[in-house]
Amino acid sequence: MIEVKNLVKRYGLIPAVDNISFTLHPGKIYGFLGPNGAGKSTTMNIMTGYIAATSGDVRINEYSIVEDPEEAKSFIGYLPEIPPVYPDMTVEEYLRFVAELKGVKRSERKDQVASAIRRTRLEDYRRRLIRNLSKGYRQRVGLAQALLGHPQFIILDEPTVGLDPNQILEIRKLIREIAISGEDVPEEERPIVLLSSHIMQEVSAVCDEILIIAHGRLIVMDTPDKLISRYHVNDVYEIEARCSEERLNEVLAPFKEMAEFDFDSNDMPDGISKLVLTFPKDSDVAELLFKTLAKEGIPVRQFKRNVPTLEDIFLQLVAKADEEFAAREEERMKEESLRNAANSFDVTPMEDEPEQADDDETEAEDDEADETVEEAAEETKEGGDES
Amino acid sequence: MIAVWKRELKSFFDDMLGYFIVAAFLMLIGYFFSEYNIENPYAFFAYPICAVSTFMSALIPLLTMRSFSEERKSKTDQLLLTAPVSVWKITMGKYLAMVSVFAIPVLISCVYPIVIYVTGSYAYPLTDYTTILAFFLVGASYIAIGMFFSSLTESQIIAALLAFAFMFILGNLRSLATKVPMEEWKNAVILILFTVVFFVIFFKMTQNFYVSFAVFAVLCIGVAVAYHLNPDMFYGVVGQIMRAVSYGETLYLFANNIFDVTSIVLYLSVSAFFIFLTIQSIQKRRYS
Repeated sequence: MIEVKNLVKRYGLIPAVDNISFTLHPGKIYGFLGPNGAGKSTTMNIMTGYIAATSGDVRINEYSIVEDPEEAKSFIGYLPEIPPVYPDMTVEEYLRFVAELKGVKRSERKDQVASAIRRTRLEDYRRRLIRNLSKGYRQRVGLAQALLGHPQFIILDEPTVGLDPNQILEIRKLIREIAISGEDVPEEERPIVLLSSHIMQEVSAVCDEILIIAHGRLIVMDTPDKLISRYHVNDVYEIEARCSEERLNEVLAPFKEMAEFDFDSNDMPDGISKLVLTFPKDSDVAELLFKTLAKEGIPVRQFKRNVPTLEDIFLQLVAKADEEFAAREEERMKEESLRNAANSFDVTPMEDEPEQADDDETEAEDDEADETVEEAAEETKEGGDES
Repeated sequence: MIAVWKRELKSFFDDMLGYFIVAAFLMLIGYFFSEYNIENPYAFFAYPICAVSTFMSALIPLLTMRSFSEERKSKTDQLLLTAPVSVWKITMGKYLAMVSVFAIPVLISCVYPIVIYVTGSYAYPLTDYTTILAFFLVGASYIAIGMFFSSLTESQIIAALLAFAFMFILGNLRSLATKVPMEEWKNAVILILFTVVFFVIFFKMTQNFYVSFAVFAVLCIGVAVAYHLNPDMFYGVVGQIMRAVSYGETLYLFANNIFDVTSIVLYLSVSAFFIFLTIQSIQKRRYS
């Protein structure tokens, strides 16, 4: 089991990892997903003991990476973002060195190196200098290195970056093999694979659970299915039909109570209208919609039901996190400038605080005002459509 | 530790660097041997060894410059620092590998006293071998210093230059000491300047202005008070300090048939101190 508790890493004032906590259970593949610079690599580097956290702790099978680093590290095989290979060694030499470094017994070293080479399909390259290998093969050597010593936990930082599609499939297959390989052992000894990526599709293809992080914060941790069901709020239908917007609006008027109407015909050819209908989830109106249009004799060019993909959910969550981050930053800047002002005028904190509170309130009011304006705009738009 | 040692040693001899270092030392030893012991009738092999020791500050940085800089630049330090091995063992593995490379020419040079003993009319093998031992220990401590500078930076060139400058000054303190003025007030000013430098380094490292300024102030006041009470104390004091910490030049003591235990202890403790600093500098990097 890997427990990450209140992990914080600051570079100067800027938090790269901002209070992240999660627990990884044996026998599962976890995907660490986030845009570039979200703090994925930093978190992984802390978990593997490469860098130290500003505060917080990582416990690996109850061993703290801070207090018992050697024991904790012995459970981990790590492939960093850039494979840590020595160009002046051959593949086999390098792997033997890593096996020895990880304290693999002399009698087992040869077998383990051979099996790592076999599993990463490097058989034909074992005597080549790593200097002369392509990026994809270096990545494989890095992966082989992580497998040595049979670590229970494998941490892979963007394992498929720079690989060709075939190699990507092979690596995914390998990751699944690692996870399956522990099925006949007791539960607490089963492997954990944690891999990071900035591509949702990759994570959803291999992982049992997804951790999405952005701006150093863990936004969500769940299985792909649950993520979809949690964030699948609306059924969206797109209809392209040969008639005027007014006619479409009139014919579909009975659905007004349930759905949100949104005309979007600007890019359509002449005589074609496009309508986007947003129904609540599971409203199951597709057949009814189609029947209504058919009864009126309106020719339908395209009829599409959009279900949000994991990708959509990811983008939506990240966009939300971006906004929150911007708000936090703004607040921080404001606080800072207030503090600076307080310092320069030598104002006591007593006077400082209420001022700040005032500010917050006005900000909140501003936000509310914005929303009401937006709502009003929407209403007028809808009203305009109706008329 | 053994894994790191083996890998480092192999990498030195996979390319030219290891051979170059060994060859350069052997060439210098051979040259000074022919100069002192063949062309001129000296029976001491200790003389050529002392002559070679002045080249150490140029050659040792070449040996040590890449030890940590290269790992850091190519990110292979991620492998070492995430392996279940302590930083201490990694550092020692690297240190011992470099010492091993340096030991090769030193061991080969052990043949020369035998040559003198067999072919010469006089021979002083005991003096020669203790000097070789002292030479080896000085080299080992320079390797620790070079390794420390390599752990500070990603650039091998900067690591080598810093190490060279440091070793050069350390190795020539005794002759530099003669250039320092003797007057009391000048010595006091020099000491104050040193505390300023110390203050800047202390502040850079701790990022704590108040504490470092307090230390700086205490030192300055100490100097001022001492100067006020007893100015005679400052006569030539900087030169004395420089001579006291002078290094490497003590090798001549061994050549003059004095087995100087103080120097041996000094060499060993400098090695230990800089190995310790190297470990600290790696640990510190993890925290910043």
